[in-house]
Order: sequence, then structure tokens, then C-alpha cells
Amino acid sequence: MTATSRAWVMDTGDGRRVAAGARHVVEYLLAPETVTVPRLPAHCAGLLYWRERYIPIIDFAPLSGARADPRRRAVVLAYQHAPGEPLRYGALLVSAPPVETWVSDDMAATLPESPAALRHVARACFRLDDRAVPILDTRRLFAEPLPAALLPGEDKRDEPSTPVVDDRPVGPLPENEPPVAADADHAPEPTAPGPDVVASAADPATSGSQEPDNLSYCVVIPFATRPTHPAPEPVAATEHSVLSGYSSLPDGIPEQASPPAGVSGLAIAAGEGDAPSTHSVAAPRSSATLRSFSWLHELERRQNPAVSFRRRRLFAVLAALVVIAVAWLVLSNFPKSRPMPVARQPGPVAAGPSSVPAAPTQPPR
Amino acid sequence: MSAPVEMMQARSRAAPGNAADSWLLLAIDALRLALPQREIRLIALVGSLTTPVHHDTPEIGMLVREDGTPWPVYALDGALALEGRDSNTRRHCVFFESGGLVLGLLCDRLWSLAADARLLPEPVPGCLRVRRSPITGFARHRDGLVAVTGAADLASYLDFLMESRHDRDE
Repeated sequence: MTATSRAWVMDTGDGRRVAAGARHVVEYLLAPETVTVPRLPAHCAGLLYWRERYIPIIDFAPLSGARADPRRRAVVLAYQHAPGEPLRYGALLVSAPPVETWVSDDMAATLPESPAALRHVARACFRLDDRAVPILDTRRLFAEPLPAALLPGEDKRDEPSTPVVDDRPVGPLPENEPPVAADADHAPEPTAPGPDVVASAADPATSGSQEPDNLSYCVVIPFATRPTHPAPEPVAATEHSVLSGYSSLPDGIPEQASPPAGVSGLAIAAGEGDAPSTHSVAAPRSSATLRSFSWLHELERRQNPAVSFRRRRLFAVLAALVVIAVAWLVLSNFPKSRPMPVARQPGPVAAGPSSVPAAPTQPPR
Repeated sequence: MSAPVEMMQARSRAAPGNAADSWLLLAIDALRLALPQREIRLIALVGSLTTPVHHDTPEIGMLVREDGTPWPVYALDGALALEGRDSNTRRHCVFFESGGLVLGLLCDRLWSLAADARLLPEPVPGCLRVRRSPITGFARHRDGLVAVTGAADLASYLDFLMESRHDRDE
């Protein structure tokens, strides 16, 4: 059976797609607020303030001469300078939510020649829908400067005079950020197969060297807590690099035997021992798979109190408008809908014995 | 020319507390630049500067000290490009020392961070280090981005700008 690796394919907006290993993809942002700084290279859109740190945002559009789309989104990617070092992050501008795919060795393809800068930061390539999709080397993309010769419009005289080595310590890490296991992530290469699979208890040989052998990998996809669902449970462990991608999700993630009805999601639970058969990731095609970040982001958006409050207020305003409109329609049409009672024309009253009271009536006291 | 108005003179000796973490913030257009206070020699108004005779010099002025030593002054815009004398509207000048050389940089505003306000600079990501830049880090201050630099990095960058200007003129 051909080993498969899970990857996310990203549309960079200039007719080009790139991919990154699943364990490198951290978050998808709808509206990244970019801060421009001086002396940026052409392929850097600026900095993004994300989780109390500034991370660089890369834009591939200038590399192919395309114009940047102002409505673009971003995907946050993780990388390490060396195995075992703390995670660092960078963002990539995209035009659409990333799409999950499974990559196998038989999909390997040759890296396109151009643009040269993209080729410089790619580690491999595979073919998808008859198109070559480079797989990004996130460390090379964010931690190393691109040679000026590969960037359009850059002056070689403008390069730093001495090679700059980023050996200064990174700022304090958030308390809940775990150390990352050894990078056993390999994308399929033309000659050397290197599957990127989430190791299960049944396959400890493919796990990273720093991960316990008997650790099963289960991450529960979160969804809005509803009364019918069981009490939420926190994610048991985040040591594995796959789980770090979900560390941004709120606590209290309900654990389900299967994804919620009508929603697709990859249910993986973290804990010791063998992975439950229903959550087996060794046979990913047998389980529901998270196909896009759209669902996940919609979930986070619903859980955002500010967004919920705005939505409730919007619904209240809309409901009030509907009530007012209905009332106006009813009131404006009410007189017309009920026919006016026809006034009886007073006719001559025939005088007769019955019309004359027998005795004058006395008013009541 | 009136005598230089010395608004503040920073001391080189360490102040009580953590002087290495004390910063002076400079506002140049939309850019916020942070310099360590221990590297600041003098802050003066632009009115106290002497204007060079030649208009084609990169300096927009200089401050002549009592002993006759000139301290050259430069102006940068928000993109850290050299500004000419005619386009300069900045009012304050910060003099910093690097390797025995004192240089001045004009700015719109400047303020000292409070003793209890700390900047936690993060190093510049490797992918941003394609072009020469005096910026050595980024920090968050009052919901805004502050670019951190030092006297040596700033002096080296000004030297690079002058060399580039000289190469272009040739």
C-alpha cells in the first residue's frame, strides 16, 4: 500500500498553487492586518501581529509579476530552525481557504523552472489535477533571506554586508506552547519516498524520535457546544506536531465518536494506548476528513463573543424591521380590507299602535 | 546662529534600574524607531544647526560643538530613505554615538519610554533581511509597531546610504 501524506494546498492568487505539510499549517486568517515596515523585499507584504508576536507575511504575487489582490487572506505556517527548537511562525497570503489533499509518492513531479524564487523555497513537487504543485520548505521560506538575484527589482548592492544569522533568542513562548517533536515531515520526492503520516500505535517506526512510541494521535475537531452534546473535554496532549495545529482552538472541545451530523471533520483523540478503530488515521479514507478551513473558521467565528453579539443585534434589528413592516402593511390595508358598513337610510317609520308607548317611561333615578 | 538649545542631555552612565532596556522613541512620519537611551548623546532643536554651504551634500546640517567638532545631521523619511534639505520639516534632532563618531538624525517627535514600560524586541525574521536596513528587531508598544535599532546599526546604514548616493552621482 502506497504511503500517503496529508498536505494543504493553497491558492496564492496568481494562478499558482503551493502546498505545505499538514503539520506546518496552523491557522487560516480571513482578514490579516498587515503592517508595513521599511526596506522590505518585494515578496514580503509586511508583518502581521498574531498571538502577541509579529510574524512576516509572504506574498508570491510579485514573484510572477502579478498584482496583489487586496481582499486576500492568509495561512499561518509553522517552522523550526532545527529539530527540537521552539516553533516559529510566518504567514502566506492566499486567495481562498486551503484545501486538504493526500499525497503519495506516485504523484511526484518535477519542480517548475519559474519563478526561480519559488523553486528556491520548495522542497519537492507533486502533480494534482494535471498541475504541478510545489511543496514549501517553510523554514527556508521564512528563516532565510531570498537571494536578491532571484527577486525582481532587487539591487545586489543592497544586500546586507555580512551574512546575518538569526541566533538571538526568540521572545518568551506562550505557556501552553509545547516543544515540537523532531521534524519527520517528508514530502514525496521524485527519487526518495518520505511519507508524512501521523504515526499510530500500530506504526511507531514512522513517528518522530521525540514522541512516545505508544502515543496515539487523536485530535477532536471542536464545534459549538450545544445542550445535546456531552460535556466538553480538553485536548489531552499537544506534544505531537499535528496537535499543535489545533492548539489555537478554544478549550472545552467536545469529544465525539463521530463528527456532528451534516458536518465533516477529522476526529482524532490524544491519549495513550491504541487509537480507537473509528479514529484510525492509518486508513484516513475511511474516516470523515476536514476538507477545508471554511467550516473550522465558521465555527470559530460563531464562538467569538463579539461576532455572536453583533449577529444577535443584527437579528434583533432585522426582526424589528420585519415587525414594523408587517404592522404598517396591516394598518395601511386594514381599513380597505373591511368594507364599510352600509349606513341604513332612515326610512319613514310607519306610525302604528306599536310605535307609541303605552305609558311614558320614567327615567331611572 | 543662536546658541544650541539643549533640551535634554542623556548620561552615559547607567541609571538606576535596567538602563540597557531604556528606550528613546523617534517618530519619523508613520515610522516609530526605538534607540537605546544609553547611546544618545544630545537632543537639540533643528534651529540650532548650522546649514552646510553646498546643497549637494547628504547632510542637511551640522551642530558645531564648543571645541569646533562638527556633528553631521541627516534626515530620513518613513521608508528610511535620505531626505533632502528642502523637503525637511522636522523639528528635533537626536545625536547618537557609535565608535567615537557622533551623528544626528532628525525626527518629528521623540519621547522617552517610562521606566516601567519595557520593549520586548523580537529579531527580524530571516526572510526580511534581503535589503540593508538599520532595523534589528520589532516590538509592540501601545498597540503599534516599533522598529528597534541601535547606534551602530544606524551609523552603518547612513554610511551605506551615502555610499550609494555617491555611486549614483558618479
